[in-house]
Amino acid sequence: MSDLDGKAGSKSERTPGRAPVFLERSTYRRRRLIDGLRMLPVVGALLWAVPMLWSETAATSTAILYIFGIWAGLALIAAVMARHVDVQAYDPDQNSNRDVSETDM
Amino acid sequence: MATLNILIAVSLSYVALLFLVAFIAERLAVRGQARWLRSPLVYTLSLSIYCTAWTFYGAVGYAARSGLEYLTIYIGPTLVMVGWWWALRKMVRVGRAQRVTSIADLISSRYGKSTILAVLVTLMAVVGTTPYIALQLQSVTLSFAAFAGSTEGTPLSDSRSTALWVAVGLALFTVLFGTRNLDANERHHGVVMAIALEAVVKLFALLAVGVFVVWGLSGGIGPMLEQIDASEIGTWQIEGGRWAGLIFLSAAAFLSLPRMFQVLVVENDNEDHLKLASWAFPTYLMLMSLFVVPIAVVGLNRLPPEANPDLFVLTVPLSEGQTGLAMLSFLGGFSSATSMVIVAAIALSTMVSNHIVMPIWLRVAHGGAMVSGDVRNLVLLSRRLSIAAVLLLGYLYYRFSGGGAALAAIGLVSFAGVAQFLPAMLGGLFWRGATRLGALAGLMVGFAVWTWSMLLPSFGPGAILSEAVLAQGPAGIAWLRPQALFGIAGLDPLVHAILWSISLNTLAFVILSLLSFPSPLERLQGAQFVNVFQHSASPQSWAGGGAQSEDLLIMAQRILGPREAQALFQAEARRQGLAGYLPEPSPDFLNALERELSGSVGAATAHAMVGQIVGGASVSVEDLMAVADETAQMMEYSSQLEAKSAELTRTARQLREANEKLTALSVQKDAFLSQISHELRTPMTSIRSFSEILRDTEGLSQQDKGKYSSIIHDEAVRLTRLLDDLLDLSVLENGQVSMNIERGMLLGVLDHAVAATSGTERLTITRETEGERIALRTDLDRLAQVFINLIANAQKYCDAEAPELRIAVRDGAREIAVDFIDNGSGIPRDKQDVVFEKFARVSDQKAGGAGLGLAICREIMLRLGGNVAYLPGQGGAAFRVTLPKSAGSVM
Repeated sequence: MSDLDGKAGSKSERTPGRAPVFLERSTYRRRRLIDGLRMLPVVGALLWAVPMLWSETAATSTAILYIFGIWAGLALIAAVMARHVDVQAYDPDQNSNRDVSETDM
Repeated sequence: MATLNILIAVSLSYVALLFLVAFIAERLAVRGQARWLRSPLVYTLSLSIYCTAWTFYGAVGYAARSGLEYLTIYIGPTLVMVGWWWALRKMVRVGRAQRVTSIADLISSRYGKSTILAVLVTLMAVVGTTPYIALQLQSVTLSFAAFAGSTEGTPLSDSRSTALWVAVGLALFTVLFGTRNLDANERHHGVVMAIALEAVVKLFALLAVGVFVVWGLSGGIGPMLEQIDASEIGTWQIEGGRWAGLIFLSAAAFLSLPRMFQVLVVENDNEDHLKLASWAFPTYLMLMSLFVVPIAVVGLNRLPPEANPDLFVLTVPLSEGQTGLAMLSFLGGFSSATSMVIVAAIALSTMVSNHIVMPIWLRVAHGGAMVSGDVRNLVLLSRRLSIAAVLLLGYLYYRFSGGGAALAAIGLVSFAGVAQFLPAMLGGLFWRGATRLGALAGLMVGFAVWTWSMLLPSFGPGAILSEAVLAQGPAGIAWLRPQALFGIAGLDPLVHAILWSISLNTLAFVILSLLSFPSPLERLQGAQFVNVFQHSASPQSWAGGGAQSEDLLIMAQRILGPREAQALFQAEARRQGLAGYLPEPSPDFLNALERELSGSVGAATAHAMVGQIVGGASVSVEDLMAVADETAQMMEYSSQLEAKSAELTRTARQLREANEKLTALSVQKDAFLSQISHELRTPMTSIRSFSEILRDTEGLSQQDKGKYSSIIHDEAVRLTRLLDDLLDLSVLENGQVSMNIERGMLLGVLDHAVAATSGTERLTITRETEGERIALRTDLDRLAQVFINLIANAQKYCDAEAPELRIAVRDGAREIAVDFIDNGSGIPRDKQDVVFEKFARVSDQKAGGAGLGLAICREIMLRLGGNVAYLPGQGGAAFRVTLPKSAGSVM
């Protein structure tokens, strides 16, 4: 059994493109996509926090272009990400909330 | 006047259209053709109730006063939507899994179905939303007045009557479509559809005005930007604290506004809808805010300085003579106001009815059995009254606050008020350690700080808080000054209020959560909320616990009638093995009861009713234990089944064996019968033929007569013996024989047997009389019979030249063995097994007996507790008789 596993592991390492690797790859992609989704609001918030540093001489027209530019960019990236993410398939929060002991009472 | 009439006509037809759309949508939903009604696009559009009249009109006014600061109100929700994977997804999942009906329901059910929390959140929501509704009424009234005033030059005689009519109309619409169904998940297809339409209308209206302003009045984008930079809001004048604080505030409010919760979570019926909404709603917000600054700048430039910037969206087209565009704009504002009020009224009425009216009713109205259907009406009535009450409150607030600038500020005040739900809500969703006490404390502290530092001062100095209190604090305590808590002055009042209310709220929430210990139900609910993705994907059924059976019975009696209810409860109690009328409120029972009740009052009401009494309890430790017990019982049951099945298999095998035995016995019996007839026939034939000779033959010599007579006699004796044997055997076999137990010596028994068989001298018997001195306690005569039989057999069948029988006695530890060994050729191996059977004869040539002797011997020995067996390998025929040592154990 362990021998079989070992073979499968080494094979998948050597020949990327085989079916099992493909699966792993897609899982990996999905995880990274979700990382991206999580990061998006943080990035947006940081970018939108930049105006706090502006001096009073900044022109409103520039500010409008900057703020709306971020807006359009965020919406666009969110749209691309949302297209590829599968809400139902992913059963998430894999690293957090692993603490089951609290349920034991 | 003509324009005003047209406006009224257009408004009324628009309202009629909304009614029609809602009506058709409800119809389709009822017929089950509502799939397209629940598309992600409709969901996204329904979120647009975030953009109320305050944003439709107010954003331009806000921009005219404070430049780009208005954007914060849209940036916060954009970040929340774009970050849907963090919070929204979980909220929606929890909402669906727990059948949440409102934000109060969410918070209360997270913290162990706490009624106090539900009531508190509901009250706070009412306090926070009522001014907001007043704001919508004001905006509609103002826009109407502006329209009328600018076209006719005379303001409407009574703007209050406009507000009243709008309020009444909204109440009517909301009651009609908002309380149409008591669907378990509180979904309102008609309302959502109407709101989606209104979302399109208001976006289209604002875009139309914006396009007109930019391309129609300002000559394109470039000149417009120049015009903006040249205006009084041409430079960045926003304080960083306000910018960040307002973004946070709008994000928090987006999540915790009751009306937003209603459309985001309660009306959501597919998590996938979030995917479209995550980018489409930010886009919607972006478009809504895109032309705000241009409109504000153009309004500031072209309209007289005393013009209300809050109405620029309306007054700019009007001043340019674009009545049609102005009318569209009016409809946009009208849509924003009405959709917000409708959803807010539904959300609040659900909360008020579920968390305040119903519990009070259930507590107060205990007496009297009511007719069935009563409760459904009650719930609907309480919803409707709540809607009317909410709108009336809004109207009264508008009426007594007198409208005007004070009201315009109320938008943010309201936001900050509902934002107080945020720590308890998010804490509950992400932190297992959050407790009910913590949530209560956080909410109360936050609400108190908000009231003190924001709500009361918002009415203006001297209105509720005197100037002295504002300046020096209550009773001169400086660090309690409403706008400079802890003595820290100089903060922007808004930022100050948000900072202190939210942070003190969070602090109280966290500290009390850390210090208190949650109840089991709370902990389970906490686990279910926080780990919602690991736990449930489907709405869960009832799992009782906190419910009191008696309360359930009282309620069921009111709805089903006393007799039926009692019968139902009694049956369930009996099923659970309890006496009386009160079964344990097990999950099964609650589900059954809910189904039963739903037959009378509808599923949702039944769910709500049971929920009221169960306290909405989901799971308790007892239930988990019951579930575990059930599993154990099932396992036990299945192992019992297995055992039974094994037993059945065994029984079947036994039966099969018995059957085989019976068959064999039947064969044996047949053989026996044929054997016995044969055995009887042979002597009978001799007797008959010789007696015939004696009778019929004349002149027989005396010698012959004597000879024939003795033959007849011998045969008769043989026959008698055979019959005796048979009788003996049958008696022995049936166990009817009674043994005559005596004491004696084995020696004596053997002596008797040898003496009895000593008629012929042919056989030499060798004995060791010393070893035969063994005391016995048995039926000596029967034992002697066995010995005689064995000796006689040896006499008859021993084929040696000089037949010899050796009788060897061995006194063992447990039993005494007496061997009868002759020196003949013995019994062939294949016959050894059958010699003890009836009529078994080793060979035919020596038909000395009937073949019953050994069978009788064996029966006798078995009766005596011993045995007789063939002993192979002794050089001749050898039989071993074994007797138990005690030799008294006769059955």
